[in-house]
Amino acid sequence: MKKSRGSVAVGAAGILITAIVLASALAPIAAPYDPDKQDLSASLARPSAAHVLGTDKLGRDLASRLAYGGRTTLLSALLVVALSTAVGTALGLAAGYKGGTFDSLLSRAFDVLLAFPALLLALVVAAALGRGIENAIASLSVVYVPMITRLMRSACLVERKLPYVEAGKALGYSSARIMFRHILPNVAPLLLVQVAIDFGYSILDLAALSFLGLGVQPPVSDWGAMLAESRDTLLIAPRLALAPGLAIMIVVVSFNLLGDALRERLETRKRA
Amino acid sequence: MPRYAVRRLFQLIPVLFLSSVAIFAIVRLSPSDPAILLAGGRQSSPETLAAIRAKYRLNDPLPRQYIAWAGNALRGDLGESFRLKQSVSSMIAQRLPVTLQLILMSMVLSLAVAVPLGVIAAANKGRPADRAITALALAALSSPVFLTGIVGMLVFSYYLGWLPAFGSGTGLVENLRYLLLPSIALALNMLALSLRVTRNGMIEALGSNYVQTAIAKGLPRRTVLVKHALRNALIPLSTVTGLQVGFLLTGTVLVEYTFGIGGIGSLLVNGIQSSDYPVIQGTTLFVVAAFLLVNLAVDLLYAAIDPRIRYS
Repeated sequence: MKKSRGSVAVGAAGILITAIVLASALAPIAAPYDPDKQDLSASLARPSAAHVLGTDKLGRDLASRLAYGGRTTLLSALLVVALSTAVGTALGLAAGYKGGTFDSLLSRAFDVLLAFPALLLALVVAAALGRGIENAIASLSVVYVPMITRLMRSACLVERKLPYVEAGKALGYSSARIMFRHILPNVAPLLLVQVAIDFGYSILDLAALSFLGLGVQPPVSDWGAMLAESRDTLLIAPRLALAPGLAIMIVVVSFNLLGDALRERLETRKRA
Repeated sequence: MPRYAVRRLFQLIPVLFLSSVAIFAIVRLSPSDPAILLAGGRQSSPETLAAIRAKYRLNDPLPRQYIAWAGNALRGDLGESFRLKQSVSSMIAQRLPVTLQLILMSMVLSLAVAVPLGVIAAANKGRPADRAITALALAALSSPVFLTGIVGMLVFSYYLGWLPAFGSGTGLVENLRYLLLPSIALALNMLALSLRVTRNGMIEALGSNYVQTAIAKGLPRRTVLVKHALRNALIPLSTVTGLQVGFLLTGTVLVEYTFGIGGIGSLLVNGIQSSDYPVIQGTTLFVVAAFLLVNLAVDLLYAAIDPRIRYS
């Protein structure tokens, strides 16, 4: 009973994510309007047949903006996760496998980075780099690297002592080959859980940076920037805030559910 | 214990030193020229810019500038705001109380809701009540704090008219009214983790031998839950609550900005938006130092809560 209900939620999460990703990916074909096309005569129009979700104060179609905003949000989050996972995995595996001076220097340096509350560090780095979505992505990637590195390092420390690694060494394989071809596939499930959960968090953090005006710059928009824009017209048209807000929530909830389900499966497999 | 505390305090020094170097380096990596910002961002003559650079010692090598900044910071002087020409330390001191109130209120609210809900969820593990509470926690965790804030503003300020939407009030009671909505938004965001930790701790405690013994002795269910199980479940919660201070410190940045509250968070955001380096450097250093100290305090409190832990 318990299992079936849990998998219903995960199934729903999967369907929602697929739908939102599809809508965003296909935005150029699927969106009924150009997201930046202003039509002041239709300013703040209510939802109707012409505009499914209505328009914002500049008369731009909300549904189209939501789809295009999703493109920016999802693509940026994907980049943050891809960049931080690639760098963090390489550093973590190297630190865990090689140990020594490299490991202790890296650990000390990351201790300092982890002394910063995560979003605070991202804020300061984004401020130094200047406004813009590229810089928001770069700063969040920097913030996520130490966490992935730690995870991979500790996983690698366990794997290093296992017979298959010894066997690889005895066969004279290079360190790089053992690290990436042998250890990495064995710790990949652990990494996958982290990636799913980080994807949700990076969407929240990106939205925060955009909300504070440090992320995307007009005319490009994402869900965080749409939320920030909606504040002027909150009383007249709350749907302008609710639509991007709910979109963020749905994606983040879904990724959290997926991450939890993956972790559960991983733990059951380990116990078996 | 006192010796342990002192040793831990000394261990903070290198971390704090490296953090200050990192903050200084990151802010100075910025491509924009502080002299142009100081001149007001307008087209200024080279002479004006040169005069400004000389006055603020911007021509000094960066290490020397760092030493001057860090040396003054040790004496409590964090420099002067580029934009407002005020002492950053006094700006922080002025804005600290409202941020502390906000953090404290959110913490109390979050724990007041998370602990009972966590106990209820654990006591009904797998049943509808548990599922509903877990789903609620997931939704709260996944909602950006500014969205929760905006929705709360909409419902409680505009539609119901119960609470003020913006700014801060004068006097304690009035101020608490202004801070209630922001605190709820922040509390909802940190609720999920506390709830999960309480629930897991309770489930573990309820399965343990001493709780089974207490149940077998025929003690009332409430006594077993609260007196026996909860006391042990609270230990991991104290660690998590300490770690969440960092989360709260960044959460206030967003909440203060959303609700127009003049605390440390909005000081930092304003500083960032106007490239006011001394403000960014000073506030960040202050927040990081506070974060490190709180985490140390939590570690030390741990021994006070759990008699099994003794530091030496």
